[in-house]
Amino acid sequence: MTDDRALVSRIISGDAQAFRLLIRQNERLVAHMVGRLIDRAEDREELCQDVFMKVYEKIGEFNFQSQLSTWVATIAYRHAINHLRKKKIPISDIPEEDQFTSHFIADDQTDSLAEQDTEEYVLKLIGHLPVQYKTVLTLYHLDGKNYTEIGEITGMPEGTVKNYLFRARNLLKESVKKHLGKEEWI
Amino acid sequence: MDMSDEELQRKMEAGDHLDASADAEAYRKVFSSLQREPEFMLSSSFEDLLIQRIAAQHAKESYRDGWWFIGGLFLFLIGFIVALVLIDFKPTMGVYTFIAGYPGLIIFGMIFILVLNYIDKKFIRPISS
Repeated sequence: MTDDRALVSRIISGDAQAFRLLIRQNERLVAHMVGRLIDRAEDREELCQDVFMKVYEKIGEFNFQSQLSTWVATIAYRHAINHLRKKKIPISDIPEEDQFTSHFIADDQTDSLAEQDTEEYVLKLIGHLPVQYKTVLTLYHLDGKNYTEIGEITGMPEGTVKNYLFRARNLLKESVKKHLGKEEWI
Repeated sequence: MDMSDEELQRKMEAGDHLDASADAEAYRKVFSSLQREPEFMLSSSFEDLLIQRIAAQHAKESYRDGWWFIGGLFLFLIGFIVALVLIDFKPTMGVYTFIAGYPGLIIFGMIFILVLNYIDKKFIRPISS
C-alpha cells in the first residue's frame, strides 16, 4: 500500500516513468481480463489502451481503500462489460442452472479431444462460459485475487463469487470428464 | 452443491493429494488449464503507444486551454473597457488617488497573489490529491 501511495503520488506529479511502471505491473491483469471477456481480437489491444487511459485520468480519485491492482482490475472489468453491452452481447443473467449445465456438458463445445491437448480444450470451454464465470475464474486462478478482491472488482457479493467459482469449475470438470470418457472407469 | 465436488475443489486448491477417480483426474486437468496464460498478449509497443497517446492528449488539452485563456483574456479586456466607459472612470476618483501614493503596496500585492497561486498549483494541490 505504501508503494501504491508513492507510485500514485509520482504519477499525479507528472512522472511518466512512474506510469510506465504502473502499466508494467498491471498489463498482464488487464490483458487477462480483456482477453477472456472480449472475443474480437481487433478490439482487445485498443480496449486495454482505453483502460490505462482511464486509469491515468482517474488516478487522482484513487482512495487507497484497496490495492492499486484491484482498482485497475475494476476499471478493466467495467470497460470490458461496457464494451460487451455496446456490442449488444448478452451478459446480464446466468442461465438457469440445471438447464445450462446439461446443455453445456451435452454440447460438443469444441473439436474432439483427440485433435488437441486437454488444456487447449479447457481454454476453449472457458470461452463458452457466461461472462461472470469467466471473470471469477480469471481473477482467481490467473491473477491470484481472493474472494473479497473479486467481489470488489465485480460488485458481486463474496458468497456469489464463491458459488460462481465452484459452479464454473464443476461445469468444466463435468465436460472434461465426459470427453475423457472416464465415467466407465468408476 | 455436491459435497464431494466441494471437497475435491478444496483439496485441489490446498494442493492435497487426490485419489485416482475420474472426477479427480478431470479436476487436475481443469485446475492446470486454468493456470495457463491465455493466448492474447499485448504487443511489445503497447507501453510506448500508450505514453504517446497520453502525450498527444496533453498537447491537445494544452492547445485547447491556450485558446480558452486567450478568449478569456480578450473578454476580460472588453469587459474592462466597457466598464470604464459606463462608469465614466477618471484616475482622479477617490481611492485611486490614495493608491497612487503607495505604488509599492500594489506591486507587493500582485507578486503575493502570483506566488500564492504558484505554491498552490505546484505543492498544495498534488499533496491534497
